[in-house]
This record gives sequence, structure tokens and C-alpha cells, in this order.
Amino acid sequence: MAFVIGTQEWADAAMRELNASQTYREVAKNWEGDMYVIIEPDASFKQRIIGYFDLWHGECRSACVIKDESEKSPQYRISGPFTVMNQLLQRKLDPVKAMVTGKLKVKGNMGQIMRMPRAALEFTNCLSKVDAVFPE
Amino acid sequence: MFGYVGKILRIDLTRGRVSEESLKEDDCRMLLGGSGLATKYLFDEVPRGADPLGPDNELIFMTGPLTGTESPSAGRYCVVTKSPLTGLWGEANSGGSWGVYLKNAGFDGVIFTGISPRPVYLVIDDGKAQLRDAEHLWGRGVSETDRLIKEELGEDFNVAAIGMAGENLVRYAGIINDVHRAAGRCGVGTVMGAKRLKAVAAGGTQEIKIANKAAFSEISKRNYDLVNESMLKITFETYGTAMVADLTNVRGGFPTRNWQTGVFPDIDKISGITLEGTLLVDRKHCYACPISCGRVSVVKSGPYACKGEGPEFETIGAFGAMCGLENLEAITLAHNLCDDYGLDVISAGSTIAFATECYEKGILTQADTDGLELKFGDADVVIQLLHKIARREGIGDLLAEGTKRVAMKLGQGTERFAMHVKGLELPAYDPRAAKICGLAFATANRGGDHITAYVEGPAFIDIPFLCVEESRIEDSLVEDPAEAKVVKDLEDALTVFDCVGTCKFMGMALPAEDWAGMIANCVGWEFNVHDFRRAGERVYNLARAFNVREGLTRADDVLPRRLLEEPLPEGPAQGHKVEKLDQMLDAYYEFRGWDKKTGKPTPEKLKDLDLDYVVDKIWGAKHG
Repeated sequence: MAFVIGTQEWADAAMRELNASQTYREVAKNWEGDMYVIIEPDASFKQRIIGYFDLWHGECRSACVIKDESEKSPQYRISGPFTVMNQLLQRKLDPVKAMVTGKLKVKGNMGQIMRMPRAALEFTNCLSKVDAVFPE
Repeated sequence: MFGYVGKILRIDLTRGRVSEESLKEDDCRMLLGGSGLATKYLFDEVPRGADPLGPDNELIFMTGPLTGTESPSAGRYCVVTKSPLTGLWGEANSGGSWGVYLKNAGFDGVIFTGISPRPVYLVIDDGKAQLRDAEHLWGRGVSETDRLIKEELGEDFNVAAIGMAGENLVRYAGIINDVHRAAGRCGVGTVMGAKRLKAVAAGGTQEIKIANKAAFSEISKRNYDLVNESMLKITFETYGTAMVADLTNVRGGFPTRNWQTGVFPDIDKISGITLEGTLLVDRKHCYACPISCGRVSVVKSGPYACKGEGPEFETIGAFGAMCGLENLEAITLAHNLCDDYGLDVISAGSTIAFATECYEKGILTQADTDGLELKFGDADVVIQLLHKIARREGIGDLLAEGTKRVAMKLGQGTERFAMHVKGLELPAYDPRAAKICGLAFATANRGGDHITAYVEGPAFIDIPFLCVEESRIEDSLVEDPAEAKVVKDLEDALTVFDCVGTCKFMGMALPAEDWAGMIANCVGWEFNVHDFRRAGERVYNLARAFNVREGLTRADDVLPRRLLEEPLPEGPAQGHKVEKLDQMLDAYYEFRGWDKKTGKPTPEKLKDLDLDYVVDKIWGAKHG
């Protein structure tokens, strides 16, 4: 059953995927910092979706969907328009390519991302493994 | 001495004399090596007002203590001279492995003075140096020169050479080593041509001694592995520096059609991703570098058929967006021609773009251009102009002078869109879309340059530099005087990389603590983060003092009028121009400890940096 992106069920499924990934556990073993994944509306999709993930030493400690961006102050924000995020979650767009073309924006301690890019990339990879669809 | 060979070669080209001298340890402790040591020789030995193309100017090749060691990306050397483009301190820096060969040949550096009566090249063979006749090499391209010299000497030599551009005194000629790696900027190849020095070939087996070898190896390996796992590696290895084209364009700051706009509509045709998917056949790395940002590309057939390295981001900027070319094959050929003629890609492409706008405005006509119709986007004309520039044929003779001098000759208001600072053409980052870059361009010691501070990294592409305490730029479209400190700190820190012989990209991935540790274990004296920052600041101030002695003032720390007066017409930075340069300069001088009125380093600052002997040279005896 596909989870609807932007629901708590989807956030829970993403957390399970992260915590089940040996690769994520290994490459993110030194990662410290929570994260927003923000899907910005564009011409194809009018909603704004914000997923919150508390990431610590290779583990996702909690995940939820946020209505108002000011609810939390995560250390990182990954954001992109729906069209880009949809391609990313369907594995039709390589996250590195999305970053180097400026389609995917990353904000936060870039030093940590510079030193541990595989943690960020595997995080995206785990999210894309969740069987999920965007809401109608 | 550890890390250093301990010897410098001196070549008097006028008399054909070769001599050696010992490196002074005190100078090394103060200035580290590379650009720092070379700048001291230049300051001490080249008289004020010397003609850059005359016998009094020096051409100094210098390595650093880390060059040729296990430190990541430690294959670099620099060339320092008085620039024929700017009339000021000129420096160019190159990777590959020539610097390593020089140290293995038994010398930390080579200082050339005088002018040879006939073309010569220098052979440095395991501790012995000899000038040889180069009549048979004169008029040949870099690749052919490299091949012929290796035929004479064997494959165990590495060659740094000029092409026809240097011979013909094109003011922005570079020096090319490893056939494709360029010490490109400031006309260092022009000075080499003026001295009738075609090439320097080095080879040898001398070992570089390391003070604490086990600790140095361990730290170097750890740092190599860190870089090997970094974002820098993932992105630059995959897409090369060319990937930056996308990232500047998406911010509306990719200078297009001689900086008339910051958005290049055909970016998808010339980006790093397109290069990777079309012409790229291999990747290449410099000595001991984990990144492999170098591209090996082939255009198999057609009018732009070529095989070689590149194109790099700056080639795509200068010949792509600035000249309006959407043809990646033509850009790749332009890159290869620049390598073989020995031309700086930034200055060459920028000068052609400037001439094209002059033509569009009717200031240049077909009567001036040998019948060529200069249009943005015409690849064939750009290639023809490159040939003409290198040979100084027809219109090429004028364009070989560089943007500043072309504008001075043409007049008619062309200086408003002549895109240079202090005579050096600007790289492909528009400060109207990332304002802090305007301050960096205006103040860089060698003129309009990106890599002096490389604040474009944090400002344009959100890449931090871990080698400074803070490199974050809060909002690229805001001119915040407090952020002038970022420029100052980056200039100082990145200067250290030019002194020790490593790539500035490494400053992104590794903090100053790591570098200080590697330097300390290499040279064997105490060297901490404080020393790291102070050495960079000292060298930066010494280069500034050279410029001040040549007559530079605050009035020279400016930007082209286009950046100050013409807002960007479209894109994310639409409506923006550089508006607060004066305030930014005030803040920058304050952080630097420079006199706000004149732009000179104050006597107090110079003394604080142990540069007491410089004070009376730029302030007069009463301050000394």
C-alpha cells in the first residue's frame, strides 16, 4: 500500500526505512542534526509539505509532518519544488545532479554536509524507497 | 631544512649565467614558501617602476614545503612577477606535477632575471642546471614543445612552457605545464616570452625530507581519506569545475554577453552535466589529489575537432556565456587552443566578449576587424579571433593588449563596460548577484580575481571553507559590511595554500587545524592555527605593499562601472547592482588594519606582522 506523502503514516514509514538501512546507519554514524524536507508548491502541485526528521548518529529518532515551518528549528533544510522532489523520490533524478544544478537547496551546517555527504545522500535514498504517492 | 630542498636557482638570462643560493630559514619561517617567498624576492629585488617586460623584472617559479609530499593535492607551484597586464604584483598558480619535478630536481625555486639575446630553455637535471638553445622550439605550440624537449631529454622530465602567445607578448599569456595545466593569470607567460625563455624542464630523484615522517604520513593519509569522502570529491569528480556554471546561472550571476545579463538561456547545452554526458572521455587528477576535477574531452569530428583537457568552468564562462556561445564543442576547442598557444582563458574570452560588444555598438567596425563580423554566439569568429590574438595578426594585435588597454585606445565610453579590475579581466561570477564578490574583486592583489578569496564558493554555491572560522554569507544580495571580514579571512587563509604548494579546494574540506598540523610535522618547527593565519596575512600585506610602492591607492580598488551602474535586467537578481562598495571597502580596510584614505597597510600593521623593513618603503623614512 502506498503511503500518502505529507501524512504521519508516510513520515513513520520513512523513519522505518531509515532505521532499517545498514548503509544509513554506517555512513551517518557521526551525523548530528535534525532536518526539514520541504516540498515547495509549483505549477503541478499547489500544496507545501514539510517533513521533519530527527537524525542522530545513524538513527532516525522521530519523524513527523509539520504544518508551520516555525514549529521547529532544525539544523538542516532540504527543499525543492514539487516537480524536482517528485523526480527525486521516484529515483528519476540523482540528488547530486539536483544539487549541482541548483534545483535542490540545502541549508544548514554545510561543513558537516561537506564532510559527510554520503549521509545526506543515503537519507534521500531511504526516503525514495518508501512506497509513496503525492496527495490528489 | 625539512620540507624544503633548501636551494634556489638564479638564472641571469642576459649573461647566460646559472648560480645557486641557499634558502634562508628565517624567510621560510616568516613566509612559508611558494607565493610568500617569491613575493619577498620580488619586493626586495625588483625596483619600483620597473618595466614588466624589461630586464629588471624577475620571473620567479617557487614551490612550497608541502609540494611533492603526501599531503593531499600537493602538486602546486606558483609564478610571481610584475604583471604586464596590471603593472602590479602578478601571480599565477598551477597544479599537475611540474612543481614536484622541480623539487625532485633539487631546487625549491628558480629566479630569472635579464633578457636572453636568443631563445633558450632551462634544463634542471638532478641538481644541475643548464641553459640550452631553443631556436628550434620558438614558434611552436606547448604540446609540440613538450614533445620535442622530452625527445631530447627523455620522459623523466616535466616541462613548463610558453606557446606562441607568450613569444608574441600577448599581455595575458600564461605558462603551461603537463601540456594542459596553466599558470594562467596576470601575463606570467608574457614576461617569460619577453625574457626569450621558452621552457623550463625539470627532472630528478632527490628526496624531500620530512621532519616527523610517521606523524606526517598518518595525518596526510587521514586528511586524504576525509577529502576522498567529501562532497567536494563527489561533485567535482563527477562534473568537474564546469558544474559551477549551472549554480551561478541559477542565481542569475553567470556573466552573459559581456556581462549585459546574468542569465545564459542555453545553459543546458554547455553545463558540466552536458559535458559529462557528451565529450568527456576521462577524468584526471593533479599530483596526490583525491578529487580528479580535471576533464579529458574529445570532439571527434567537425570544425571543432580536438582532443585534450577541459573545458573548465572559467572556459565555459569566458567563451560560453560571455561570448554567447552555446556550442560546447567550440568551447572545448577554444580551451585547447588556449592551452597550446599558452593563453589565459579568462582574459582571452573576456577580451573577445568586450570587443564583440564594441562591434555591436558600432565602435569597432569591419574595417577594424579584418572583415570579421563580431556577433555574440558566433563560434567560428571566436575561434578565428583566438588564432589572431596569439599571433598578433590584424585585430588580434589590438585584442592581445587586454580589455583595459583596448578600452583606453577606443575611448568613446567603452571603459563603462570594460570588465576588468586593475587591468585583469574578471572571472565568471557577477557580483550583482552575490554582492560580497564585488569587494573581493576590487581588493584582490592581482586584480579582478576570484580565487584570491574565493568568496564565490560560499556566496554563489553555498560551499563553505572549513579553513576559516566563518565563511557563511547570510544573504548574497545584501551588502553587509560585517561580512567584509569573511573576504579578509579567506584571502589570508587561501594565501597560505599558495605558499605551501597545495590546492585551495582543500581549504573547503579541511580546517586550518589540520593544515597547521601537516605543515608543522613537515617542516619540524612549531606551527599552529595562529601561525597559519598570521603567515597568510603577512604575505597578503607584503603583496599589497608591493602594489602600494608601485603607486596603487584606494582609488584602484574599484569595479567596472557596469557593475556599479547597470542593474541586472533579469533573473533572480533582477534589479540588483553593487551599491555600497565604498562602505564595504571602509569595513574591509578596518578589518585589515589599513589606512582608509590611502588603502596602505599602516606602519603599525606592518610592524605587527614583522614586516618592519617594508614600512619606510611605502610610508617614507620617518615612519620606519
